[in-house]
Order: sequence, then C-alpha cells, then structure tokens
Amino acid sequence: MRALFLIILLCVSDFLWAKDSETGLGVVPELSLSYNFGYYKLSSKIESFQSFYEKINSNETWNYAYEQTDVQLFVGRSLNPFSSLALGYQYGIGSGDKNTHRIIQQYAYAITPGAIKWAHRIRADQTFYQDDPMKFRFRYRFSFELPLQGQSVDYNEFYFVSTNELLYALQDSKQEYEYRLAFLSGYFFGNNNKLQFGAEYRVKATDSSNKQNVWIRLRYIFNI
Amino acid sequence: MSRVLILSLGLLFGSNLFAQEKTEREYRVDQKEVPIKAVQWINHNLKDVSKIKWFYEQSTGKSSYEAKLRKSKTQFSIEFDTLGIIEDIEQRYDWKKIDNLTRITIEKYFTTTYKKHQVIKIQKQFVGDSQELSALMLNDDQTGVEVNYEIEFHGKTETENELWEGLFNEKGELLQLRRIQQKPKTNLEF
Repeated sequence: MRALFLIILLCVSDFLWAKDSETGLGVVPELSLSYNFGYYKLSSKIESFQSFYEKINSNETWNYAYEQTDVQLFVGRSLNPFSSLALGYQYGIGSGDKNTHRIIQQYAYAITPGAIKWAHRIRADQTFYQDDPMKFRFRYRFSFELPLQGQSVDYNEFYFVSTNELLYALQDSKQEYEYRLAFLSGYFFGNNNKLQFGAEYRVKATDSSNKQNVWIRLRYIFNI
Repeated sequence: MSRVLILSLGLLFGSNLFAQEKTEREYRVDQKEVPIKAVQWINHNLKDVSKIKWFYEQSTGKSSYEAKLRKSKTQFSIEFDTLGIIEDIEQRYDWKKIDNLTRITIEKYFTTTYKKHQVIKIQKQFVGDSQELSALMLNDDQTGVEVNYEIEFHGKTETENELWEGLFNEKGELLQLRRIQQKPKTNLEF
C-alpha cells in the first residue's frame, strides 16, 4: 500500500517536472558487532558502499567507484522483552573529503507471535555536512524474519528476512522521499553469529532527480 | 546422517545452558522419519485434520516427535516419545475460556508476583496414557487425563523484565516456571 502510494507519488512528480534520473548497482559489505549487558546493549557496525554500474539519464558506465563508508555506534536499552530505545552516532567517510556526522534516535519493537518474527522500527536522524545545511530524516521500517527450518530460527539454521523502509528527509527547504526494500537470506550459526546475503532496492525522489539503486548486501552480525 | 550432526551440535550447545531456561530446538522432519506408532495414533484418533507437520524436538536432556495440526480451526500439537508413544496433547487456548476459578487463581499469581504482566500464548495440556488420550480425542472423555495450562507471558518485577513460560495445573497452581531465552534480534533492530 505504502509502496503503491510512493510509486504514484513518483509518477506524479515525474510528470510535473522533467528530472534527472539515475540508476546504480553496487555492493555493500557490512560487519556488525553487538554486546549485551543486562538490559543495555552496545551495537556497532561498519558498512561500505561500492558501486560498479551507473546510468545517468541515458549515459551508462560500468566503473568501480567508492561511494561511502559508514561507522556506527549505538547504545540501546530494552524497555521490555519486545521493545527498546537506542541512541546512535554515525561517522560517514565519503569520497574526497565529504565526511559527515550523524546522530540517530530509534525505537524498535519486535515480536514472535508464531514462527514469523516481525519488527517495527522508528528512527529520526540528523546529518551534519561540512558545507551543506543539516539534514533531518524520519524513517519507519517494517521487517520480518521467517525460519526456513522448524518453527523458530535456531543455531545452524537458515532463515529469510525482508525489510521495508520509508524515509522522509528535509534539508533546508528541500524534501526527499525514499523507499527501501530488501530481501535477504540468512544463516544463524555458532554462538550468536548471523550471516545475511541478499539485495536491497532503494528508490529516492528529490526536487531535482529520481534515483534508484540496487545494492548487493553481505552482512555479518556478531553478538558477543 | 544430519541427525547425528544435529545431535552432537545440540549436545555441544545444550551443555552451556542453565536448567531454569527454556531451550528447545525443533527440526522439521518428514513423516517417513517419524516412528510408525505415532503416525498410526494420529490416524486412529484424529479425524478431519489439516495437513500434519512433523517436528523432531530437543529440549534439555529429552527428545521427542511432535505433530502440529489444525482440527476445527484449533491448533494442536501432539507429542510422542522417540518410540512413538504419546506423551501429551497441547491445544491453543483462550484466556477467557479457562474455567473461572482457575483463571482467578492464575491471575492472582500474576498480580502478586509481577508489577506488570501480559499473557502472550496459552496452551491447554492434556497428559495421559494412549487409551485415555484416545478417549479424549474421540469421545471428549476426560477420565484419567491430567489437565494443565502452559502459559507464555511477559512479567515485570522490580529486578526482572522477561518472558516466561509457566505451567499451571487445573486448579491454577504454578507447577513450573521457566525463563524463555530470547534469540538475538540485532538484525531487526539495527
């Protein structure tokens, strides 16, 4: 439903203004480390965006390009067995010297009513740029995890996970709408390790352009 | 072949676990791998059921086979030992359907033990021998059958805020309490 709304929105805005259109394809390796102590949790991750295909309007290029590396650190506290609050900081290392600082606030809720575990996440973040004004973002993500063996995801078992996220951003007076959809297969192994592999599709509409990307994701999650 | 691997891994991880924790592992198995006695019991005693899903279950120090199915829109899970002998029947249940006096007793346990609580899932458990459970399924005859309630709930005390599984008897008295060990969900939060 939300995706449909966004698609309509994109079509309408495209109709009104002739905009640049960009398409990209790339890979994102990601490493995530988490540590629980009582009801608190420290979570960090590093992810790096590297693209190898780009199409701007009708110009196609197959070229490797480093996009950005993000380093994140979160401190979270669980409110009950289902929900948690977290505060985070992200340092973004862009190409050239386009580095950014970001602060993040989030509320997450996850529950397992049956075999499927589903989760909601609400986030607000503020990004600080060297030369540009601050960007505010509000995001909502719905995800679910489905065991592929048995009734729950246990050690040494495969699972499937999908995430759906809507983002709204405001920078100065410029607005951005973004939708992200990911399908990943995962493997839960050893003592709290997860390995996820899959693809994420992102579509973003700004005042001047429409951008869509497919990112091949490989994520390793380690809970200490 | 994979059973051996699973078993040894189960033992490896099982040894790290505390006794009061609820730790169960379930593996989907084909009906061909299930003891024939168990399959026959179901065929004999349950009519008009949905497709049966079979699981091989390991909890601390115990293995069993479990059949999950629906009968008149109600979820059942029927447990057998490794020889195919029936152990118990569990049926999804509603809080409001629990007998009044029993419900009051359980509610009293919740309100006196926890600052906050929320019931998540209830299963009515029937324990008995093969004939008794057969009479229960075919003729709704409860003679000799022990009835318990297995309740999964969220309970918050001054010091703990956890998910629990409580086993209550027919009178609503607590027989056993286990903490449900939650799996990490970092991938869904961050």
